Amino acid sequence: MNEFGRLGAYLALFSEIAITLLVTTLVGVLAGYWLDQTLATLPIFVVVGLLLGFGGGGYGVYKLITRFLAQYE
Amino acid sequence: MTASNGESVSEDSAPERRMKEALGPELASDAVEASAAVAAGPSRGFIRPLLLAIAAIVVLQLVAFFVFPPYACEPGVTPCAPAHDPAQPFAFPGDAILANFEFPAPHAVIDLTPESPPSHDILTFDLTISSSLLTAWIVMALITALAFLLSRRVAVSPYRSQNALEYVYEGLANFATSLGGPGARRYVPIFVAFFLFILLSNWSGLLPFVGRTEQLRAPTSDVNVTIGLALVAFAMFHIEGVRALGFRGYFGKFFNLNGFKDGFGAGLIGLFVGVLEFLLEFVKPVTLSMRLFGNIYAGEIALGVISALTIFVIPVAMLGLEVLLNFMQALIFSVLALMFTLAAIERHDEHEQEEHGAVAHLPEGNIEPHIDQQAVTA
Repeated sequence: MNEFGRLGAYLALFSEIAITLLVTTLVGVLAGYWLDQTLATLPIFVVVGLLLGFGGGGYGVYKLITRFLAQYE
Repeated sequence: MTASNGESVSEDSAPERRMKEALGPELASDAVEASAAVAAGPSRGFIRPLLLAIAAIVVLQLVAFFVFPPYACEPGVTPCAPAHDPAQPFAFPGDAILANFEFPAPHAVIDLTPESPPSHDILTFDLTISSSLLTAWIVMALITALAFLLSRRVAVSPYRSQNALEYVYEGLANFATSLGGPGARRYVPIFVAFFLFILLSNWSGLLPFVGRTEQLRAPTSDVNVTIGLALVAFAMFHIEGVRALGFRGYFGKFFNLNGFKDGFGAGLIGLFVGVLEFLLEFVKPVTLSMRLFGNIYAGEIALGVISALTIFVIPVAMLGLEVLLNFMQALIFSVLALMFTLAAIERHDEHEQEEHGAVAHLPEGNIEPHIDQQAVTA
């Protein structure tokens, strides 16, 4: 891969890492908030959703990085 | 120096004379020109075009300032509408900032359902020809017209128009194959289509009249357009995955029951991980659309506010920054669409072998061995 291609790949990867963590955490929190509103258990499911969302996002980022390293390094 | 018949003759230097004696007059003149070009070094002619571009941007800003002058905001209207009373004073900087705010929802140029009033819900379905849709059609027409016109005279020895088209297409194709290897060549057309459409859509928002007229708006500053692009990419990932691996092979990557051979616990963990990966697939269109929308929408507003608050140097620098950032966003979207498609078509066992290092990595994504290795093994 030439330098410009490598730069483009890195740019895309870093951008995707940040926004994946953000989106998954946000989805978890919103889902937890909705459950709390339904079951009147605020803030239990908000916290659970935050942790699950963050964990899921972290796993997604891990898969992204390992796939990237395997393919481009 | 003058010749015997009185005509002036240019003097050759000693190296040039020796070259002419060795190569003959025709080849020697080419060699002399080539060596002179190498000795002269790279051309430094970028400063003058840059200064001309800056001057053109400043002139354009001034023209836009006089053609679309700043207006006072009508009190009580959010974010800002031109005041009905022409005598109302322009309150700087408040009115200048507010006038550049735009709602995420685009302005309806032609309302196809005038009987239904506009909704203020987040998710609403209302048939309109919006400003962003109109600009998207203009961008699509421009790309199609350029591709059509530049490809009319196709020859082995290309004309300038064909050369320009080939330069753009082959540059992007080489970039795509440098990222994804030879397997990416199949997806070069969609990569180029995504890149060109998003790039021109992003840059269209930087033209002064697009920012100041209600009927035109950068298509990618509208979340509807970016979600549409992301959904097209999302459909491509899964359709190409199913085409390459079959329905069972593709969805077997997510819902993998082979782990149960190693025990119930291992199988359950494998299944859980697969389900998690399947759910993470639905994060991809969200990230693709929101990243592009957020960057372009916020960039437009920031550029408008900066241009309204200052006139000369800072808007030019901001415009230059926005040109670069918009280019990067177009590149990121198309690169990720390509990378996710290539990831979707790879087999689960290929991916595991790469993770565990079982597959030898060939340099730069090529399928042929490196030349040095060939020499060694010969």
